[in-house]
Amino acid sequence: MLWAVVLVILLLCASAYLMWRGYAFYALDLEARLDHADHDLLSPGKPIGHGYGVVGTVLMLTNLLYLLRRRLARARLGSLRAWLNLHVTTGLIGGVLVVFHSAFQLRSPIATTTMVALFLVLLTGVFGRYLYTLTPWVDRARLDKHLRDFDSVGNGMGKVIRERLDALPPSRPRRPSLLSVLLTTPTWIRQANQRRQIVLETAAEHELAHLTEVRLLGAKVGECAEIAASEVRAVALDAFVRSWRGLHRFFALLLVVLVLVHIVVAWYLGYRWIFSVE
Amino acid sequence: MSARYAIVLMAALWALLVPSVALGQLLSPGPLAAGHADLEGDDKCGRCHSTGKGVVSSLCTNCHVNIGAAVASGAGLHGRSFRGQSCAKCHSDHRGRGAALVRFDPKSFDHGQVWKLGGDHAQAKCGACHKSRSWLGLGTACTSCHKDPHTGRFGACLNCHDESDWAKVKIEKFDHSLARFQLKGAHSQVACENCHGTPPRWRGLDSGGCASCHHDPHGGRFSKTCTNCHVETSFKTIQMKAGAHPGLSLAGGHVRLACGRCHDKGIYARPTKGSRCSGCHQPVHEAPFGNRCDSCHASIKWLGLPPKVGLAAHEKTPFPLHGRHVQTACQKCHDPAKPAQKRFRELAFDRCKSCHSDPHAGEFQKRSGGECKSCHTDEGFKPALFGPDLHASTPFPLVGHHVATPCGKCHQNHTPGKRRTAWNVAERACVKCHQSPHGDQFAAEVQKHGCGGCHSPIGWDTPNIAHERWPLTGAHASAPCARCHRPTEADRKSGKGASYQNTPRDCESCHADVHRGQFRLTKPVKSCNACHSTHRFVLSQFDHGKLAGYPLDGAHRRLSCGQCHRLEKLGDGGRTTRWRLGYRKCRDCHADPHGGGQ
Repeated sequence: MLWAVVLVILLLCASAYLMWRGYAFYALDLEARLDHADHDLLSPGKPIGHGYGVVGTVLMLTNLLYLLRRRLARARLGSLRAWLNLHVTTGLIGGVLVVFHSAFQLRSPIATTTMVALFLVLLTGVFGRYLYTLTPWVDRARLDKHLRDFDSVGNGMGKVIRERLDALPPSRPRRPSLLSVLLTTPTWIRQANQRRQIVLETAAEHELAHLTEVRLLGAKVGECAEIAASEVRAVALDAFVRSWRGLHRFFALLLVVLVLVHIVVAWYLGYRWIFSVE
Repeated sequence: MSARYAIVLMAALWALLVPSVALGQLLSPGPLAAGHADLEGDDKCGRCHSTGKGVVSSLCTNCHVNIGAAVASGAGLHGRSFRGQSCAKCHSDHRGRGAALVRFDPKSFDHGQVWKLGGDHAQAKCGACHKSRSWLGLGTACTSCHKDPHTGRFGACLNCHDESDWAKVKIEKFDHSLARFQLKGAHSQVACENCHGTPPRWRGLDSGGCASCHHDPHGGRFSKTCTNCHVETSFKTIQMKAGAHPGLSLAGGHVRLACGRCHDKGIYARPTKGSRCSGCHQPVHEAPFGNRCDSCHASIKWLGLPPKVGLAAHEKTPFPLHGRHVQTACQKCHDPAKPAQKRFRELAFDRCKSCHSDPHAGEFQKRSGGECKSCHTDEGFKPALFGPDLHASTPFPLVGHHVATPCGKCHQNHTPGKRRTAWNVAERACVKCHQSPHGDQFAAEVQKHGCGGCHSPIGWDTPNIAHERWPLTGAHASAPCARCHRPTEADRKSGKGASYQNTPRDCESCHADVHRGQFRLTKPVKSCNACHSTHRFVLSQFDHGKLAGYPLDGAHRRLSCGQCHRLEKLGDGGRTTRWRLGYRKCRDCHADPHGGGQ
């Protein structure tokens, strides 16, 4: 949580500084900007404005290293969580810098498309990160322990629950697309309820025969029911995150392509930042 | 994410974002200003941008040629104040269609960068001079804005005028040689106010004549153009111009005469002899041209008058000019090589050959005494009047085809080495012109009557022949001669033409046997006229019983010929109708329904 707080503060500070630095310029319309003293610095093709774009682009390309880290899972390149935090940080700061590079003007189709793609990348990224935090951790060891306890006390109740849960595994969509995930969601909700009911109803059956013993295990029955249901929720959110990641990647890919086109055209026409030929 | 899903998403996103923008505008950072609207499109970036160099000013001046020329020459605002600077620094584009490319504040502009505004110009409004949309293009010359009332004759305005006070003229610097009235002679010494008055009036002075300023001491007796007699250096110096003499031109020989030769009572008094030519000169013309010599010799030129004068006067002579004589040059008749007396007064003109040579070499001496008029007019030697009517007065009147025969067919050049046509043809026999196609077949007849015994000029192919030995009847009467009198092979070899004597008289010699020998080669042999006549080959009446020996009775009468006489194919491939059937019994044609018998 700390990194998120730090990130938000960092972003706010950077944005506030950049806005303070150029607000007088950014607040003007196009015609008036030409006469402003900062026009030769903050315009997209001028040293600082162009620099925002260059640094922002480098940060966003750095951002892509997270994909490399995911491919090289076995290499000792640091924890995936740290890389994900770096991915989020560079993505957000790079995005902000690119917005300042545009000087808050969207005057061409490619600029508009790029900005929309950037916004969607950031949006899908933040939401994906949120989905990631929602994914439950399934404590299978605890479930197994409780079922063993049921067996020892409830005269085979744990074994019956296990058999019945195994007969109703969580559905896994054939194709991990967002659409199929959304279409499977009602099934998952139903399965989660059914698995919860399996545990509770099995316990209720055994309560009649072994009333005293089962009642003694009442709290564990409820916990087992939640773990059984969370198994379905974990599968569902995992599929949802996977499909959402595809969407995030698509917009990221589109953004990279547009940025590369923008860079190539600008470089070709001679807009090369500090390397321009005067 | 599947590839299909990605494609669908990308297409959807693209369609949402760029629905109204042409793909050609994809890379543009923003719309161009209205003035550059025709440069929109990703394929036209290179019109302004250079590879690796951004916006290059030389590309701007490719279109804005005038600006480029001004910058190169250091003229105008751009050439003086912005030479070497990038155009894009001031004229930034891609800021929208409505954005102004020229961002210019007239109030703060230092006009001295281009042209310092002096005098009243400093107070003038910009639009008084800069009337077009562009601020550029005005020159620094006064006439760029002001109309020059002097139409450019006096050079730069500031030579005489002051920028602050236009009416204040620096007259001492004015070059009067630029004015319409140039100061020459004594005029160059006259003070300005003598002519321009006080206060001076510079415009509207009448400089057309001397009388505008000077008094006429002659009281209007002479021409208003004083310079005809006087010069500008001194009024007393008289130099009379040719043609300026009142009443009589002094051109020609008169100019060489001293004034006193005519003005015997002083130069302002009329001569005692008057002003008529006849007062001094004796008439020389024989024709009644009258005493108004000046009507022809107004320019005091006796000889060499223009043809127009000569032509007008010729009507009064015994030889008025008509036809081609009107266009004939005077010297063709009035030969300048001849003495004047012989050239005009004693010039012979009563006969054509006085001037013209006889192209017929006296051939027509007997006709009209050799005068040309009987055959030619003065409208031209050709065409001659001699036609068939006049030919009738010759020993060979033209009749029939001879009327339409071109003259040259008979009248040819019989004199070797000369182009002259011989009009008198001594030999008039037909054979002199025509070749006989009959050889010597009619030698005796020709000897006796000539060709005219049978033929006439009306038409060679309509001879006057009785044809009594073999009378022409029926179709023969209208058949051309050559249909029967065709030249044989022997005739062709001898070259005498068709034989008109001993021509075979039987039908077969001219007509082909369409019956293929049915009546010639089988008995009974029948001649053609047994059935046919000379009027019509097709039979109109045929007595079948009498001529064929088989009367047609009963149902046979109603049959058409072809039902018995069929068209048959012969051994040589030809076809003919079989008229001689060779059978006459019923069963030869009909089947026997009774199974036998006759």
